[in-house]
Amino acid sequence: MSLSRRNLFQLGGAVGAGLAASPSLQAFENYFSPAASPYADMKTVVSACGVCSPACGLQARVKDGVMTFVEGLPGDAHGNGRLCGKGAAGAGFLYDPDRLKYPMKRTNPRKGFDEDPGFVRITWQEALDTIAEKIGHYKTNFGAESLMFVTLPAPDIWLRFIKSIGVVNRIDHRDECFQTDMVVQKYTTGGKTWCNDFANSKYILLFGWDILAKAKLVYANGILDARDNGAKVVHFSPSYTPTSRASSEWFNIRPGSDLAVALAMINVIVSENRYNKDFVDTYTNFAKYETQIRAHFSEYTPAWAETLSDVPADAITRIAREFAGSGASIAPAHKKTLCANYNNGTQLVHAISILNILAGTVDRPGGRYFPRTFSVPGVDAVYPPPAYPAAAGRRVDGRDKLPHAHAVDAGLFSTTADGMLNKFPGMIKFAMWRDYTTLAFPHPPSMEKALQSVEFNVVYDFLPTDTASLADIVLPGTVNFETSDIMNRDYNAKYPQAVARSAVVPPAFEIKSVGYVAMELGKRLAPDYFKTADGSWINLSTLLNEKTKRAGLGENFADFVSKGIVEKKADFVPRTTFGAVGGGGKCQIYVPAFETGHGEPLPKWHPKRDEPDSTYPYYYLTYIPPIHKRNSSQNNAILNEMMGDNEALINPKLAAKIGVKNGQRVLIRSRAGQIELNAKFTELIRDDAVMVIHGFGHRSRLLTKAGGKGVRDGDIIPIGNIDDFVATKNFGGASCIMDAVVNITPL
Amino acid sequence: MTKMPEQPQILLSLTLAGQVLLQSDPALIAVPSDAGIALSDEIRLAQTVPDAAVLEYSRLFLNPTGVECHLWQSVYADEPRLFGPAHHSALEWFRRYGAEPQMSNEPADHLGLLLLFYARLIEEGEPADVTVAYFNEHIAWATEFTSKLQQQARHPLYLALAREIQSILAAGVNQAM
Ligand code: SF4
Repeated sequence: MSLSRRNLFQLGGAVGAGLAASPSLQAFENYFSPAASPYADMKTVVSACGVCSPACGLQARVKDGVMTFVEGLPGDAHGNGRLCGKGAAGAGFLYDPDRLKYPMKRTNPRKGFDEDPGFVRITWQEALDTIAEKIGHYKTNFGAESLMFVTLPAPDIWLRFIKSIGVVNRIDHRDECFQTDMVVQKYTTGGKTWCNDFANSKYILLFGWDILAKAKLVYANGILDARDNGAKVVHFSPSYTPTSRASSEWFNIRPGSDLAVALAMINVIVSENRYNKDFVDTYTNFAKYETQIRAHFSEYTPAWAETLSDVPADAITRIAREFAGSGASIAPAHKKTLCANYNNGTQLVHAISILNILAGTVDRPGGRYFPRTFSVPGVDAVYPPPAYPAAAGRRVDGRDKLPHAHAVDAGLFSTTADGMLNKFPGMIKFAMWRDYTTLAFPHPPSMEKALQSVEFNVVYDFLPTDTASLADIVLPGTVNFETSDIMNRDYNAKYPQAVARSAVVPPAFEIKSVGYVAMELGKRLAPDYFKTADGSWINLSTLLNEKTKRAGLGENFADFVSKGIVEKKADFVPRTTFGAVGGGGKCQIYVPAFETGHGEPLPKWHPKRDEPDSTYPYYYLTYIPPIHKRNSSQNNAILNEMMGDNEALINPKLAAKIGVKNGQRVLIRSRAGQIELNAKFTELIRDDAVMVIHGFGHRSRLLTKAGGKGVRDGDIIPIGNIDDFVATKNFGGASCIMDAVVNITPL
Repeated sequence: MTKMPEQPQILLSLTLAGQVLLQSDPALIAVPSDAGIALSDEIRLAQTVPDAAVLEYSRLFLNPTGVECHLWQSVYADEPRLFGPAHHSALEWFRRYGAEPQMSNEPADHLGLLLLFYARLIEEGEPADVTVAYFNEHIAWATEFTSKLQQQARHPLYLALAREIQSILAAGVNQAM
């Protein structure tokens, strides 16, 4: 396009020279400037996806500060040059019209979903001053226990802020995810790892639902590659999913009974001495506890497991033998590997860990291994803080009653509503929500009720969530394309590799990063923690440069960005000592530490929390589809078009039994509540279960695409009660996110 | 071809409507003393009690529980989004005339900006083929915005705004015919 002869900054043409600026020109000059360049600015930027945790490397094309195209980054160990559907739909998050754009405050003091909050735009300065003043007020008058931060503990500067003001109640969703595996791996092998060496596995045992479609591209590629290499894949799942399709064998297991099958497999491997003797004798505490181990598992026979799981005893025996004999077997534990779904999740991941140990593949080719990564220092290493104040006060979720779960410092989402409503009513006065909504909790109505008693709510997010409806202040937050960071590869990491996540575009409107919020609140509330040794404020760009340099990734972050990927190729040297706590350098099958803390040193059989009975005769299943990210992607235009609503998925056999037609409206009830939606027939799930897809039912009516669509699967999932967790030995704090039974009535 | 309405009136209409869309506080909008259109009267009235208008602006256009009427053309495209093709096309128009929006980190296809630019094209006597092309590319879409605004607005200022944009649209359509 060529430049016009006209310059609109002065009157000319028809209006004539010599006149004073017209109102139109005056207004024009208030909102326009002379163009710096007549041409569009084009560039390509290396960055990393942020939709899920592997943060696959990507490259983005940018025109005039607008991301126009994304694709995978060749050479990246996670995405291997590709992005999954969610990653490719990244622009749908970045450019969602509903994004929060400016800090806003409520002007209507009456709170409720039916009240108009009367939000008005305010400056960041006013927002931060008000929040700091409220935190100070509640902390002084009601103690640090009155503050609740619903947020992951990252980035490090944000965690520093939380620690600097002595927060007791920081909670995140990991009890609904892999927290039980954090608890178990800490003591059995030395720590939670995301690395599964599928490429070299000969036998992959998948307890769980849909690791292939739901989980990460890196896993999906890994499992498909393994299949191509001739590996056998066995899948236990009450519904037939893409993972089942990619498996060599699929068993339509009874919900919540995976533990029985895992225990019976251990029984076979131990009683028949099929375990990897070299590994087990050298690197585990098997010998020391052999008598207890053999005695413990002897009762869990395949025949017993069949009665609970519907998996034939001879199949269990055969699979156990194959698993032990393949030489490179793996049983990954991922979030939906039932780590969290049922009350027996901790015992299940302990049993899975034992299977990997018995196969002798921990940190060995074909097994679960620990990532070899660059050592990137955190802010506390770069700028050592003064001693943090003790986090003194009561935990609203009661997590301190479960010492093992407490020590890994993650959840508990499942018991928070019970704590707020029943155990410590009125204790939480101030809540700050970052990138979480009430939909993320079991039984959202309970959390919504609990929230109404919180005097001051702050929401930092990129979209208007349901929680924003109850907020006093709303802060517009960034998505990954607007931030910079160092992304270590930690899902496929035989040798260190890091990708530079550089901000693809600057945040639009008045959107700011959580690092900015941390710094600004920190300056106001705990300034000593936000200064460098020479007394100046920490600068986040300088911090990132320093981290880059100390990690050996470049002279500074810009230098790292110019390389995009930095790696240090090295041979994979298997570990000979393991960091299992209390293990003296060995892996632990028998975990003495679990003798206390309401645990069990060896996993025992426990049923799931809610079992079918005459009132609620059917299992309830929930599912996160491959194209959505939990409850935060339903408003993404691209993903919404693929799936924008949910239904009650039901086997035609069960439907015939209860008189439901395809498409008919049904009422599903549990002891926690009821939901109403349309039935959809599918042969792909058991005929004693009904399945509802998670993530729908946002009530924020004005979310253009997701608002008011579908129902919340969680409305019929009971909240957790910490005393029940203690009594039933749910010592890793599994959130029972699917532990419900229901009845179904046609409408 | 039907003639455009009296030039001063359409310019005033575009200039005031553009500013009401860009400025949440009516107290900060300069209304020429001789302006006598309905919207100018409503702005003057709103200036006496600006808080109600500010609240209404937030509810309609910025609401963090969800926006009633989005201000950007790209949101009304077949694939609604921020910073869509209309943003780039608007930027091209502006640059062709040596201008760019001061708010460089906000979309260029904000209806307020589009109206202010349109006013300048007309005021500068750009030929009809240019103004008609611009109208078709960057103003005509606002019918959907206007009907939403008409349904959702509760404050007289924004009801008057909806009517004003409607008459701008009608004039533009007439000219284009
Ligand atoms: S697996 Fe998909 S969503 Fe997750 S980081 Fe990779 S591209 Fe993004």
